[in-house]
Amino acid sequence: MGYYIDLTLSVIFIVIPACIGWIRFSNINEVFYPFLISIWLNAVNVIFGSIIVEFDYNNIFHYNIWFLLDAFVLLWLFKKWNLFESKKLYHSLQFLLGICWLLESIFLSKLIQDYNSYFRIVYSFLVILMSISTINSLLMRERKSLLKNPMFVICCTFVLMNTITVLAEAFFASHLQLGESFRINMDNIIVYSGFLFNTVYAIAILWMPKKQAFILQY
Amino acid sequence: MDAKETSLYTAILIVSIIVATIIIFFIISIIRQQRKNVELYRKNVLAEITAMEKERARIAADLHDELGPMLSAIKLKIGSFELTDEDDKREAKKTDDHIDALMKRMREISYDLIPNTLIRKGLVIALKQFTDFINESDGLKINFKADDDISPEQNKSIHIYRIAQEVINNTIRHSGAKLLNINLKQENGTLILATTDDGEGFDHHAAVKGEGGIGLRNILNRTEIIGGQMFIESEKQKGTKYTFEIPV
Repeated sequence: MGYYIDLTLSVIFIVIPACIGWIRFSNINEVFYPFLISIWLNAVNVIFGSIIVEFDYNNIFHYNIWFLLDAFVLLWLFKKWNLFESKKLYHSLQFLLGICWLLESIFLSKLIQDYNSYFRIVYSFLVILMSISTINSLLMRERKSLLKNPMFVICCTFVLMNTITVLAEAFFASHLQLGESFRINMDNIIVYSGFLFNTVYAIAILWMPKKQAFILQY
Repeated sequence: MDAKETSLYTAILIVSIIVATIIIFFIISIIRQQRKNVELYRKNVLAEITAMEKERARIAADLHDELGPMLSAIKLKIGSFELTDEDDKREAKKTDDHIDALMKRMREISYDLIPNTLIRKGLVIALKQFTDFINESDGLKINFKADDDISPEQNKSIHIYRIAQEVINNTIRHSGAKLLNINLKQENGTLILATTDDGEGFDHHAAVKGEGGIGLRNILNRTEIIGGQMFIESEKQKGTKYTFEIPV
């Protein structure tokens, strides 16, 4: 597909869950707010990034900032989902991600010269691990259909999406001497899979309840 | 892309598809296994609670049909004694009072095991009677409000009654509350039982993480058996609000 068609589709697929989240906001339990913020940040990032590229500016700087914000918001999401037994672990992960981003920004990407690919690999990997832990915890507690549980749906999508992101980002990070069209095609894997993942997010947002039912472990 | 890049790209694409397929297969197997586990768990809980209710009904019947008449006969027998000695009369009176107390207590236990009012007059009257009984004591004051047209199925009524009973017991034992509001209404095919107390409250997130108390687990099990959902809003020093939404 052409660049503009891809871009338009990307924006549409990102804006749909963002709009559903905005419309349903008052009917959604607060434990899902960080996820909605992450979706909105993603939408703003893609739209703003596309606009500034049209004006011949590069979008590296604001993408690098978005990586950091998204990492912190997702960490906060898992905290809201009671994943962390202690605040110490949560703050340690925040610190680790902050240091990782800072080191790559200072020594490798210089913040405006290249994308923080290593940081993206680290935080995507962390999100995969946190998602798996949440899925395990849900398995021990959920007594209704897992398929209709927005937490489960979101975690499964996180695992899939971030696995593909890690695979693709590993190529960008290794700086192999490969052509521009190869890079574009690699990007397309993330873009096209993004269509599917954003559709799943839209469905998950529609299923988000206002109140969280009380559940106990088996 | 040149030939080398195309081969590499194809390889990446294949690896991505394989990894995605493995993950999707894993997710599907998790969902299927969880469904089996839930089904098994529900069957076990249902069997456990049904057996418990049957046992309660049997004990209540035994108390009512065997011990009750026996105590009445003893009371009658003692009343028929023609005593002349004042000490004997006093002792007979004491024994008679003991038997009265014993019969009263037996009726309470029997009612607790299986409330006849619930079977004869329905859920609302049974709950009204139970809350009136609690209000007779000095501790907790209960405001009970219910729509008149509520009449769930018999097998659901017993569970809803037990849920309300357990909530009241929990409030008395753990909350230190002075006031408990209970509201029972029906909206769009859903029966809503909502209770609010002014007690100490508790950290229900901690309860969710752990195994919870026996009372909470009983309430949750009964709610799930009748296909309902249970909601708790509680914080330290801010009281506790239970809401049960049961399809009827």
